[in-house]
Amino acid sequence: MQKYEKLEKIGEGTYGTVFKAKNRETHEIVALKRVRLDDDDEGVPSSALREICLLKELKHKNIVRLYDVLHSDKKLTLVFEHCDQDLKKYFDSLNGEIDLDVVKSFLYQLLRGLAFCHSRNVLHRDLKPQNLLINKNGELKLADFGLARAFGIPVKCYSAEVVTLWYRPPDVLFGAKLYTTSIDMWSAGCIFAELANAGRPLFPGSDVDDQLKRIFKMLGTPTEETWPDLTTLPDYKPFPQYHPTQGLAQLSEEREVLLSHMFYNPNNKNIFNGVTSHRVCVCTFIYKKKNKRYLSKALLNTRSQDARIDFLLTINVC
Amino acid sequence: MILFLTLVRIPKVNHANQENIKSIKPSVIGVPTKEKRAVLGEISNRVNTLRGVEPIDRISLLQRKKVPVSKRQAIKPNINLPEKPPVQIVKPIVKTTSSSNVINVPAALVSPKREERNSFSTDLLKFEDIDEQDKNNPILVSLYTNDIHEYLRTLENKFTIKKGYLAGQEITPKMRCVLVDWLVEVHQQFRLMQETLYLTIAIIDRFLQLFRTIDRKKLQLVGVTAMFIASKYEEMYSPDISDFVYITDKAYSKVDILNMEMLIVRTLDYSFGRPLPLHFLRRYSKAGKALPVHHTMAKYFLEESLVYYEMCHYPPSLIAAAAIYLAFLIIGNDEEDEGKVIWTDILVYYSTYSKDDVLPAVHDIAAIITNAENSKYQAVRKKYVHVKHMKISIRPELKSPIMLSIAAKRNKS
Repeated sequence: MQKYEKLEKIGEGTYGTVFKAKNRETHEIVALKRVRLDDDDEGVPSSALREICLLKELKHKNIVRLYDVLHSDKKLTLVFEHCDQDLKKYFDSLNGEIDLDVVKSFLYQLLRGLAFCHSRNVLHRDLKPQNLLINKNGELKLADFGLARAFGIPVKCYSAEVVTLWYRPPDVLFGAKLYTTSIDMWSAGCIFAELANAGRPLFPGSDVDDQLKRIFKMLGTPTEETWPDLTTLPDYKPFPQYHPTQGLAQLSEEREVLLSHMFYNPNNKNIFNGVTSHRVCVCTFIYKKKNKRYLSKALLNTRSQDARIDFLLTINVC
Repeated sequence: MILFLTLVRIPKVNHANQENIKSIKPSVIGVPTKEKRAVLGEISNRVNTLRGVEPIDRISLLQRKKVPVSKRQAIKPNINLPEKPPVQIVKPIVKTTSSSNVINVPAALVSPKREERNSFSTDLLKFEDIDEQDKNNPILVSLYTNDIHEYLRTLENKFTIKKGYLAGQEITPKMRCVLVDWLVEVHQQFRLMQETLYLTIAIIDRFLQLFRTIDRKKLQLVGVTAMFIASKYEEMYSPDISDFVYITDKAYSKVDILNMEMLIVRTLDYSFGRPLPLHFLRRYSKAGKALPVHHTMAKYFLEESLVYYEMCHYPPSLIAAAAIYLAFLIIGNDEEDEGKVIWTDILVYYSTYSKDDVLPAVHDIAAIITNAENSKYQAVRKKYVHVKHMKISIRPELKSPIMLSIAAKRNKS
């Protein structure tokens, strides 16, 4: 620990306190995540075990870098690359306005980092603005892999108690334990809408029921027809029949996100149309400018080697 | 020696190491399934496999069984061997193993320069797209499956186990066999996932290979701690540390296990990502259109191979290929037309191994299996006698002339 000088507390991760610190020799600023180990405890927490193991292999510029693990008496310290803020804090500084180029850039980086995880059989399982770090250069990095895990093919049943409520997909809200990369894609979709709307969350539910209600009010309540086997999910219960708001989420006066391709059935529920059949994600949102509606479409090639994004911007749809 | 344990214990769930900190509510088990995909397992949401669904009262499970006694006692036969001076122990081992005998699969084999593929469906011209049917089933992750398998091969090359790595160590191959055989039983009694068993053994081998100076009294401690770590990595609800203390008949304390855990994670630098033979077997079973009986047979071969030290250096992707090869060969093939029909172009393509690459491991497995009945190590064989495993370890094919002739090839070579 002599190597680093603690500067300030940054926050709490899934399983430990995070500090900003300075390397005494190189003066490099890092983030230290401290994990306590007690004798009457269960040793290294599984979340720390997985985070360290997975992050050691996930080296990508859109994924936070784990530099080192320090061991001292009754304590583990994870040394991470430091970023100035997270997306949540960035939103808070916005005053409700966000530049479209920023939306594009962040979305692109989020998806590229995610594609990298998924192509290395890792599910993040806790994507939310707080876990997306942003540095001075506008680089976005996926962080906090405390709930992440490696998956096999075919995937097995994993815990249903994952992902922060607002970003949790409907099948998991109904208790599904068998999920796959789609779980992160739903979260990414919610974050995309939140980005496009300068930080107003898409589905800010207060509990599981409220969460589902908010989703259904916007996208329509699913039925056995639109989502086969829906009623057999472990925690399924019926909801009032809401009709979709034309697939459009009214985000603000200026912007709407086109959600018509946000399906319920996990077989194709990815918010990004076509992702299950092609390697291309399509993100679409509509925004109004000077009383005209424009359609913005992001195409993302999710191939990990050469992720590529094209924006077909300002197509007049009115 | 078998010990009857009658301790009454309060069932415990290891809350600290569950996948999430929030309390877990055991949820309703799904409706029995209609579409059964025997080889690849259940794929729909309605299904919850029996294990891993809710916290399991592992101690009460144990109580129903006789618990094999502490490793210390189990290892005794070895320890009772006449003490030889270290040099003498070392020599014969060194003889049989050329020290730098890592299985060096030619680079070209491991990661052939394949054409860049966009997805399975688009660019595969010559070979059948085995994922074609699965595009709309996200559980099979067909979008990423090629990337992932290629990545697993790079990981496999990174975390190798050297042939003969125990040479010069106090731990003998025989002690390792006894340990693994016992862990197979513990794993079964704890009702852990298959992955956890393979990961446990991989951790033990990689740790012993790197650390080198473990003494025999600590070997069982290494074993249970490896399983403790593997459970935390793989399981939804890992057993409590006290379950591991209990299973060793308190030969080791909680603090012993915690200290060993730290030693293992630091020695291995938290690298538990070595791919498991199972990951590859599932792929090959799919590519080869294996029937459940083939797949189960191959799993039996792989688990039996875990026990034998002479098999531990085979890369997971290679031994999995050998296992499915042998399963195909002995089930539903009357002639010893080795490989001709069995190792098809599709299997060569998806496994990246030619028939000749696979054969040495096939001979090794066959030799082990034909001898399984007379072996001291019966845990895997007993496990696979169960109906759940299709009574696979007592199938007549295992004693068929073709099997014996394959096994004989190892002895020749």
